[in-house]
Formats: sequence, C-alpha cells, structure tokens
Amino acid sequence: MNSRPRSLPAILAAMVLLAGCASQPAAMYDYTAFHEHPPRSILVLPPMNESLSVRATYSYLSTVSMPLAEHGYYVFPVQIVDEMLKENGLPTPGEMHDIPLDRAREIFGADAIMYITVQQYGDRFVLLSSSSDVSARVRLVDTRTGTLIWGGHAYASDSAGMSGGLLDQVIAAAILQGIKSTRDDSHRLSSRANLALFRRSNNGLPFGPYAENAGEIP
Amino acid sequence: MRAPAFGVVAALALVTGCASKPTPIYAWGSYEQLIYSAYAEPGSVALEEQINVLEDERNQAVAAGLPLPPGWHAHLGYLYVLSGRLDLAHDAFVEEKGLYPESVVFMDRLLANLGATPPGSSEASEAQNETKNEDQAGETS
Repeated sequence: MNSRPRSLPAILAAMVLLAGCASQPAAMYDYTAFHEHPPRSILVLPPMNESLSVRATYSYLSTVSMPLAEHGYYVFPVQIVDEMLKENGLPTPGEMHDIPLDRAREIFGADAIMYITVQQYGDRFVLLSSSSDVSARVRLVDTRTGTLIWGGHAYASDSAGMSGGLLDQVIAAAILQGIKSTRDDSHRLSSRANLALFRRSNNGLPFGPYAENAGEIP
Repeated sequence: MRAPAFGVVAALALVTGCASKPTPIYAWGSYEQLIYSAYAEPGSVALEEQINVLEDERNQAVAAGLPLPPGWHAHLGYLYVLSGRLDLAHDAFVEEKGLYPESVVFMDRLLANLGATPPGSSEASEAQNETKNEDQAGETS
C-alpha cells in the first residue's frame, strides 16, 4: 500500500519527460493562410515593450532587418519608418501597432506587417548564475485582409551550455566590417533569437522571394 | 526553470543543425549597428560619420560584388536628407526603387516629400554633381 503512491509520482515524471521529448520535433505550422497571402515585403514596426529594459524597443528593432532580409524578404528601412510614423502623429509603438492596415498599405505599400512584443530583454539572475535572456512574440499580418499569416516566439539566452554556434557565425558573416561596436549582450542575442525563430524547422518563416530557396519551409 | 537545460540544448542543436551554411545574401556592414547607435546613444556617431561609413561600405560591397540589403539605399538617402544633400538623397531613393520594386510606393512618397522641400543652392548642386561623378567612377571600376 505504501509502494503505490510512491511509484505514482515516478510514473508521472516519466510521462512528463516522454511527453516533453515527443514534443521536441515541433508540429508542422499551418501555413494555409501564409500560402494564400505570401508577402514580398514586410514592414517591421517598432516593438511593444513588456520587458523591464527601457531600451528594448529600439535595441530590438535594430536586429530584425538582417535576419528577415537574409530570409528573402524586402524589409522596409526601420528607422525611416519609425520617423515617418512619428511625424504622422504616432509617437509610441503602441500607437504605431494600432495603425489601420489600409493606411500602412497606402503609405508604405507593404504586403505584410510584423508586430513584435518584447517580453524579456536583459539580465536575469537564476540562483547561482546570471543569464542574459531575450524573448519576444512575433506576428505577421497580411495588410490586404488582416489575416495572421505567421507567428512565433523568439528566444535566445546566454546561459551556460547555450552557444549561438552556427547562428552566431551567420551573424558574424553578415557583418562586413563593424564600426566601433557598442552592441550589448541583449542586442546580440536579439539577432540570434530572430534568426533562430525564422529558421526553426516545421514552424519557421517560409523563405521569401529573394532567398535561393524561395517558398520553402525551413 | 520550466524546460530542462537538456531540452533547450537539443532544440538549439536542431535549429542550428537545420540552418544552412553561413553565406549571407547581402553586405550588411554597419547598417544595423548604426541604427542601434542612433537610438541607444543618440549623437554618439555624428551624422557625417554615419554617411562616410555607409559610403565606404558601399564601395567595399561593390568591389566585392555583393548586393546591398533592402532598405540600405533608402536609409543612406534619409541621412542625406538630414544633412541637407537633397540631390544625393534623391539619387539614393531612386536607387532603392530600382533595386527593390517592393519599395516603389514608399520611395515615391519620400521623393515627393523631397520635391516639397526647398532645393539647395546652385553651388551646392555643383558640389553634389562632383561627388556623384566620383561615386559613379568608384562603382564602375
């Protein structure tokens, strides 16, 4: 009678482990909406910020163009877009995210808008060690119909045992010759988080028209 | 922590394992770092230095036979606007439009805005033409 309740947690733990493993090869994303409205051009709006770091919005904004354009899309110049929206009476990311889709189409001619919300940006202390974490929710919406055509969760961390590996090589290779770099850790991690999200197997962003493998799913 | 570290490492291995080899399509140079600096530490890189860096990197990219990324010429054009060199801004916006037809609506809007701004003096345009000729010589070599 004593042995049964003890083994139950063990079995449950084993099941959780198994379930965890089974979910590792991510389920195939439903790309139906994407294939109905495949974009050529993407307008990246300055991200909303739910993190504790005041610089998250603009630091993150400056790390999306490279991974997204290298994925094959036309990416509108983020700083001019930001300036133009501010000049048009939308001073904050919150207000920019509320811009009517037909208006965004009219001003920029964008096929899709990428809405980003930064959730974590910076150092986090976990018991004995600190780690730097960046995470964000990403949604891609067709400007003609307002349909969500793709989305996901970007994440990167600098905690022990988690190196950027090939992703960092891609980032390094893309940078021809850096000027005196003031990039902080979180900024570097944002590039990696985006690259990892766009390239994730089975639920990454399909490659855009300028990529060698245009139309393929990562 | 919710996910075991092992799971995270495995997921990352999957991601990196599936990533193609690092051969970028475009010459990015300092484009994103300049944008980062402009927001993170406004004024840390002077406007003229930003322009010089991008002009240098354009020459390097041309020499290496690498295309410049989407938005790049538009961004340089925007810096030219800020520095009052409207002729160069005009050329940069036209270049963006020619390279990337997806930008036509936006570039036409920026070009129209340029037209609404008072043009530079004739002296300024002469200086700009000289610069332009140098640029073209650099690009064709």
